[in-house]
Amino acid sequence: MAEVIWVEIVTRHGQVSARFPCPGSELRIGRSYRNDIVLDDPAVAPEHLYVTRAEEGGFLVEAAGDAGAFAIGREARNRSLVDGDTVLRIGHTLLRIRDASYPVAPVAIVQGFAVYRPWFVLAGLIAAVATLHGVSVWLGDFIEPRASRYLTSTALLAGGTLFWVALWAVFSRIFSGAARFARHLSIALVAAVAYLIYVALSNGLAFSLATGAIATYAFVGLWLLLGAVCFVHLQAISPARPVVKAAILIVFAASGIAVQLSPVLDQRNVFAIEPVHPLLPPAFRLARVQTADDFFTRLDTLKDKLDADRTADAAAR
Amino acid sequence: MIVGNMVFAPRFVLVLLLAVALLCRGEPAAAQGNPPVRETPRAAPLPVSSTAEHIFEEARGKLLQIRTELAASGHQTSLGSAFLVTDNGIAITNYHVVSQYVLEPNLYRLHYFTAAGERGDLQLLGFDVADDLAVVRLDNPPKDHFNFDARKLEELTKGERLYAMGNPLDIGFAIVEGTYNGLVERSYTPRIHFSGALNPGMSGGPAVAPDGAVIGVNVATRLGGSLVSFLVPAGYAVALLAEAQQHEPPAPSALRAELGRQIAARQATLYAALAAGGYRGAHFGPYIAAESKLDWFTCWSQTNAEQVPKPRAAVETTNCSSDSDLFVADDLSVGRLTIAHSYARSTDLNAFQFAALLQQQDRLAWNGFAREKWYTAQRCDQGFTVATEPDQGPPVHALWCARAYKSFDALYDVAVTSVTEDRKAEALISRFSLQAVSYETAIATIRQFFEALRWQK
Repeated sequence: MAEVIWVEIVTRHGQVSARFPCPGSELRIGRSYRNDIVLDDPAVAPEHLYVTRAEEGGFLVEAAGDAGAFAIGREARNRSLVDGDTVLRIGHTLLRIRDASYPVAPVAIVQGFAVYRPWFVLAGLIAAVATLHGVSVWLGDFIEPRASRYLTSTALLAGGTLFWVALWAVFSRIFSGAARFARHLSIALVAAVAYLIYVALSNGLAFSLATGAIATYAFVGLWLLLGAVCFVHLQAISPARPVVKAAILIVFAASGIAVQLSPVLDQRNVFAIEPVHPLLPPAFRLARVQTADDFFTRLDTLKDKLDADRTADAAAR
Repeated sequence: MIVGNMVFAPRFVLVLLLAVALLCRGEPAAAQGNPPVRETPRAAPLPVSSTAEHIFEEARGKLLQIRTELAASGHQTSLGSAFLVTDNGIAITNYHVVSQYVLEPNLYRLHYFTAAGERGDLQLLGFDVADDLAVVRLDNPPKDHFNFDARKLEELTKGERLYAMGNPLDIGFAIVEGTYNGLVERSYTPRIHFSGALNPGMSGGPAVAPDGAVIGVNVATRLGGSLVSFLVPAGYAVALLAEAQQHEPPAPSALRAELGRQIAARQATLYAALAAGGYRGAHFGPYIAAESKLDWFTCWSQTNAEQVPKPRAAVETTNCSSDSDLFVADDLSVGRLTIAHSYARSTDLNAFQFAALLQQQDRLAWNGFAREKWYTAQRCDQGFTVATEPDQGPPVHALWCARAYKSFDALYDVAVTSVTEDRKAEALISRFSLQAVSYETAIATIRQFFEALRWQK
């Protein structure tokens, strides 16, 4: 097989968006049709680059005219020796040059040959979300049962989920070239299942353990869940830089928690802490039933906290 | 206790808040020796107008308008009335007329105007927040003054004519004719029921018998009523006057502490009366819950049976609240006790749906405005509890919330909600809210309340 030089157009994130094989030992790149590779980038000259094989391996890249400088990193060049990993920039286009000698990674072993059936999985997830949601609406519904109540809330949930998934699919398409709708949909559905279970559990435990704080501070878990879901969505777009993404999302979730927590911690905002008092059937009671003696003794301790609040307020004024 | 009148121009809104609902009642026009006046109502009735004409003529020089003004700019913030009771310039008015000054003596000043238009400074000699009275001294007083009626309230008869005076809505001193209708029933605070038109600005003015002797002090009218007005019995003003004359006037800086002391004392009496009054058992399905036996609690019940769509659980609610409000500031009234029971019985709800219904019923309701100004943030605790004595009552899920008064040490608001936990399809939700109470009293009161809860297993 004749020698071929491959030119790859890459995105800013290093993903290949186009790949051109050029037989021979030299090639020209530019905007005019006299070139071997024609680029539709207005910032690229009609004749921009001239590439030849270097005797010592790699390629010699030369600017084809005065207008046609190129850059490696931030450094402008007129002539340079490059290898298969060097990314060149001409105009707004990033590209790299490789040939048959460029090594590729060893084959990834496929674990079995079962066919991934995303729509089958998705249907299961959708059924799970719809069931959980319907049951939670039903259990909280003490008014005259009406189909519209179920349909409306289900439609809102479905609309919200679709909007969320569509947003991620668009990001995906922009940054990685593929929408991956099914992937993002399955992530969102798993998140919805987790959300519904989490809310039911936090309310249930708050009642069972007679600890209102579990319900009051349940939003902390919801922010963490949101951060985790965003992380999985981002990883689906591109697996690059997981640490940076995780760090950004941790900051995001922490900010959300801080914003929602600040009025609770700010004792001077008396509108902040509305007591959450979830109720479940008596059979779900787990906490010990205290005698009135013990219960009222425990309430005595609140007085010290209130007095401390009053003192702190007086000091602040 | 504030008179609301939509017809009033906006400039009277402040007057409404501060000086609106109070009217004075009878004063002892010392002019006992005035034969025509004495004869008028009882023996040989003259045309009513001539009595009022005479009384007002006698009283004109002894009536005052009190203005609270901003110390910095001298602009008025509220208006009320007052009346002279000694020959050395001591006058009686309502606490709520001077409350801005009591709470913020650095921000406000008190001034008076006579009917003749003379203006002067006022010194606050004392106040009685429980009876809504205050004693002030004029810097340049007229000699003339009202006398108090020497009769006891029992000696007055319903239907006696009374004449209330003051400066309503800042449009000039006026006299209003009305009738004495005894003491207000079902009220913790003793008030004379005066059937006459009291208006904002008349607070602190006198209401007098036909002989000119002061029977009471204008204090309030009932929102939504018609000519239903209230007077503070003059006896409380006599007592406050005697006390104020025996003591040095309080320093402005000590006013707020004195106010806190008076509120605490008044509330301690209120809660002692509540405890002494005891509870009776009110039946709600299988539950027997506590309702106060005291006649100053008024209960109203309601059912959801008529609701459309048809409710899936029957809920009957009885809400009892005490007529024991205590005016402290324009945006702070304390003293009301609320006890509410809701009995819910499911007709076709499952256990979860019934619990959701109970959760929706059980809301804490704090009273009062300007919460951040007066209260710390509330702190709550919840738990399952049952009477210490075995089998005394059902287990309940209880939520206890409390907040402290920022300005008054050792006073708290407490609200408790409990839901019985012994049945799947029936429950009793009880709510008890207490205002301006010491923490220990709150615990003792609520405990007494809960220990009265009984059940039929």
